[in-house]
Amino acid sequence: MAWISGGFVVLLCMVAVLAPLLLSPDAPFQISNSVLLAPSAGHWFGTDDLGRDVLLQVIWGTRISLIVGIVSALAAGIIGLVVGAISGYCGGLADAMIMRTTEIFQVMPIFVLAALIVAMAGAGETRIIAVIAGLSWPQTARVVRSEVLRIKGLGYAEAARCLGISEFRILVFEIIPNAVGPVIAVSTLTAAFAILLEAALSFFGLTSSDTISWGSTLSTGQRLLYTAWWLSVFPGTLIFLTALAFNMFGDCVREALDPRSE
Amino acid sequence: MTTETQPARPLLDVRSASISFKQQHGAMVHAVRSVSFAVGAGETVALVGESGSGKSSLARLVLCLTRPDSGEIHLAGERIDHLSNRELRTRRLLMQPVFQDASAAFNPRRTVMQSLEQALRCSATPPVDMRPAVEELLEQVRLFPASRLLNRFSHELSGGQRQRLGIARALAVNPRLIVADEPLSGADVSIRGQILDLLIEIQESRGIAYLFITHDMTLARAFAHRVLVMYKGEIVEQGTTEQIFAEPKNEYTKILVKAAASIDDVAA
Repeated sequence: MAWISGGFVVLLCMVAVLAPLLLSPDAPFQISNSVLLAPSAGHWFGTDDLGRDVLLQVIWGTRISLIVGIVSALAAGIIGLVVGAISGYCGGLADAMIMRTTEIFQVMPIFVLAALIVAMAGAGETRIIAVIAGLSWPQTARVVRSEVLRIKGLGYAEAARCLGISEFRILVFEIIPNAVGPVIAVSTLTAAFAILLEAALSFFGLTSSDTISWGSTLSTGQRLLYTAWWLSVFPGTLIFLTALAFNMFGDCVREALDPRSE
Repeated sequence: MTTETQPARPLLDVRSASISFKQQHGAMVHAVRSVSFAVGAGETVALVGESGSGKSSLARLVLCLTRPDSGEIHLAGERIDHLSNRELRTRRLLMQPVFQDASAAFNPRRTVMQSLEQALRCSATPPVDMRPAVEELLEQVRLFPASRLLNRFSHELSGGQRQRLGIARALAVNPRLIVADEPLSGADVSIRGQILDLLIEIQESRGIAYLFITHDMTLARAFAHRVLVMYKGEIVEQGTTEQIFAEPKNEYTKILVKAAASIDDVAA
């Protein structure tokens, strides 16, 4: 499982990195007379209603999906790690205030809010990333907090305190390295969620018209589902597989990072 | 309690220390109530009592991991309970803990070498050359062959080896007092004996004092110079080991002594 999901994630990353090197940036936008061709040797994934190659669109879309997924997960992970560590380690008033804040975030419908913000502020990957990171860090923060609370009472944290090591160093060198496993698991879930959210927003047309992503291709496809199935099936399957692969890969990474597992 | 059982110039002096905790549903638990005792240099004092009697809370108080609500803790003639963590730093090295749960006592991301190096670096005079210093520590606690253990992680060691490693870490900073919270409760009988022998040997060579927390009266009798009996957060009786076992005065102590005697009968 680790190899399959990890291999798939690596493959996607390679596609995303190599695409602009091997293809001209206009290639996916190239309009032609060969409209709505079924998958064939010339067009493996067929063509859309403007005669554009679906394979090229899907390859180009990989970039958007991966950037949005990975960057927003990374940003949410870092914010959550810092906030959660402060909350768990300081305790008291700071902890209470941070935890109430995360609870407010948890009852917010992320998709609706993201759609609202993007619709009002305008589309763009950076905004989508900011919205996803800004709304999903509380999950990571809560996980980190509970880990920090658990670890700070363990023997090695107390032993470090008895050795006169400063609280800051204990937090950074003893506690946080042992709390990152669950953070990575949560972050891969965030990445999968971000990819789905970006696809959904593009599907509803909430992206700029000059970017191609899996969601926007899918959106074209659903209008033509009965005449050109390939427009929906290929990007849809990729969204599904990518979200799945990120989830599974996250589980494997977390297990691999746990020094006690075999 | 007679005055001659108290050491003249105690290393550790706890004066009417109390601490209470608030439970989740708001009730206060008085874990330690106005406890006073002293530990002299090079002496072994056993703190006995059943689970929940406040022994571990008292150990944490002594180690300044929690601060008393009232009372004073003096270490080597200096009051330490009101010092800030920064001020405590160097004083803390005089006393070191050995924990009950040896599997959680070491950072799972550090090797044996890294854990002991961390401790050595905290000592008053950190060695320049770490590797031989770490190997020497391992040999002192009879962990052989030291060179083969250096790159292992603590979870790759056996329970007994881990407990020895815990003792080695405590020794790294040359403490004068070791606070050991049930250090033998996880080990099987043969390993208990070996670790007990090791502790006695270390005491003889280094003159270290032990505050030895245990629920096991037979262990206290075999090992301790003096015994403190704790019940419901209070020290109900203290005296030399002979006194406590020969003529216990407190009712609870009598029950403990009697129970220990009957275990001995079964063993014999």
